[in-house]
Amino acid sequence: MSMNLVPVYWLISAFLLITALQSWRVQGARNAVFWLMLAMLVGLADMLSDQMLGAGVLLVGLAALLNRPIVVDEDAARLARNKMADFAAEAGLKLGSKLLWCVLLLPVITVAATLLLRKQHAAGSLQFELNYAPIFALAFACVIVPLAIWIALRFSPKHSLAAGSDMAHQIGWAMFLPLLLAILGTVFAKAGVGDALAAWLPSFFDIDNRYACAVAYALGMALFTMLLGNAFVAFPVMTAAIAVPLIIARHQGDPVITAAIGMLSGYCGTLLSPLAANFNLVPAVLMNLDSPHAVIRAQVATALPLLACNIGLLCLLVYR
Amino acid sequence: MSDNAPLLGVLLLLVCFVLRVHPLLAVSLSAIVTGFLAELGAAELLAIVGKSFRDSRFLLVFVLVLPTVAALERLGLREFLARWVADSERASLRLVLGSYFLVRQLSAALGLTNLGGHAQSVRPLLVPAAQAAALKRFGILNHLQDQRLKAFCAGTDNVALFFGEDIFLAFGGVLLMQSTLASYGYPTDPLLLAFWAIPTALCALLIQSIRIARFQP
Repeated sequence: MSMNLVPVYWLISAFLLITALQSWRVQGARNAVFWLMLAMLVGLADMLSDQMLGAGVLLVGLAALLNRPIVVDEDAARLARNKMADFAAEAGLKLGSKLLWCVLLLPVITVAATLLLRKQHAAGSLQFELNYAPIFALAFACVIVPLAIWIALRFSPKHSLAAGSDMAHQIGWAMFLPLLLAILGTVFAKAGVGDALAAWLPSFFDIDNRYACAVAYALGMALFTMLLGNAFVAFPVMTAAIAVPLIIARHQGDPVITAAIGMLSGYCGTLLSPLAANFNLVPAVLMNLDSPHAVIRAQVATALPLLACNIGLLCLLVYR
Repeated sequence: MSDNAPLLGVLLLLVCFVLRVHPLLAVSLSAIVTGFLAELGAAELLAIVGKSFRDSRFLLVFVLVLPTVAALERLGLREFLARWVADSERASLRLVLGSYFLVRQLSAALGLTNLGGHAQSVRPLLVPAAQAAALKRFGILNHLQDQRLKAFCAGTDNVALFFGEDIFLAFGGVLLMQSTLASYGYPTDPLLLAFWAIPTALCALLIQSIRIARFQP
């Protein structure tokens, strides 16, 4: 038997469609366009040609720009919030630890399903790309747990979906950014940005000094990741530009240590990047933070010393 | 000059960054400009964008978590946790943040990155627990303090995840390093790549522990 991610795409598409309908009802058609188009693209991607899909992606980006921030009637919202909080406090005390079990059920099912899928894969009874296992498992758990909540806590899946759509509205365009960044990375790769950087960057430091090369690689990974929002996009580019020609080939540095610590230097850049939507922007929205950059500010004091550690470790270990 | 032309796309991104252009607009513009400077042509550029979207749309899978989390929140999970921490004598802010960090980093190192996340665990679990613990120690927080506390919770999750997951040898990042090095003729053992993530992971643990110990909202 073989398996692919198509059912997962359909689930995502269906959820986005529900979000679009709810958006239409609550906020009007203008905001619903973004959700509707995104739902169509995710669900129908396998049936559209590459070009059609590409045009659709750029249009979704435009539709997201049209989205108005949600206008809230402050008094009504406060009243509703208080009412909801009262209800939640009462229910929370009554339901107690059942709630905790349900929230823990999500990772437990995900991990169990991942292990089961891996086992099936190893036994050869199920064919799929091994990297898909955790994605498939997570989607499966996300279907099961609302059903468990229905049975154990008498909260119907219809209400769960409506509440989840509210949260999706809150996140809004930020959920589209990681996809767009992955696409930008592919465009950069095809356009030869890595080669261009490789030709240009070494004019900024002394390439005969092996420590200067190590410092340049770690700093370059952090800065480029900060700019691109994604260490996985920066890694092939900076590795082609500095690590392979200079650290490894010219100065006989250890390739494994170079790559491992270079990537982790990039993660320090992720902690500082306003484009790293999943890690910095989405939590700012989820936690109701006033500034979209509040999470980044809370991370500066970890990212900078850690980057210094990485630079030190790289210089110390790579040329042993 | 033409070899360096694609770099203008990167420069454009940097300029948009400084001018605070909307991120979606900045990234789209940079992709389009880079494509044209590299003489890819409109049809080819659209095809690259489309194919790349098809391959990476699984990134949206996290939205499926939202109904579960939102439902449990409506049912009072935050209030329950807040009471639990408030009633416990030992649950201090340091203990809450520190134990969360340790569990998250260790489980990520074992490949269990889905065990937590901003929607799955930070908003429904860590924030209410930390708020209740902070209330015991510092009294009622003002708006700014509450904001700082929540941002610090999110940052703690990120640091634990980033500097834990690379130790797991089947993690996508490890596989990317392996395939990149292999394409230049340097075959590597994923086990070694994962092993050399440990020194930085220990530094991250040390730095974040010091910050948690000294943290005041």
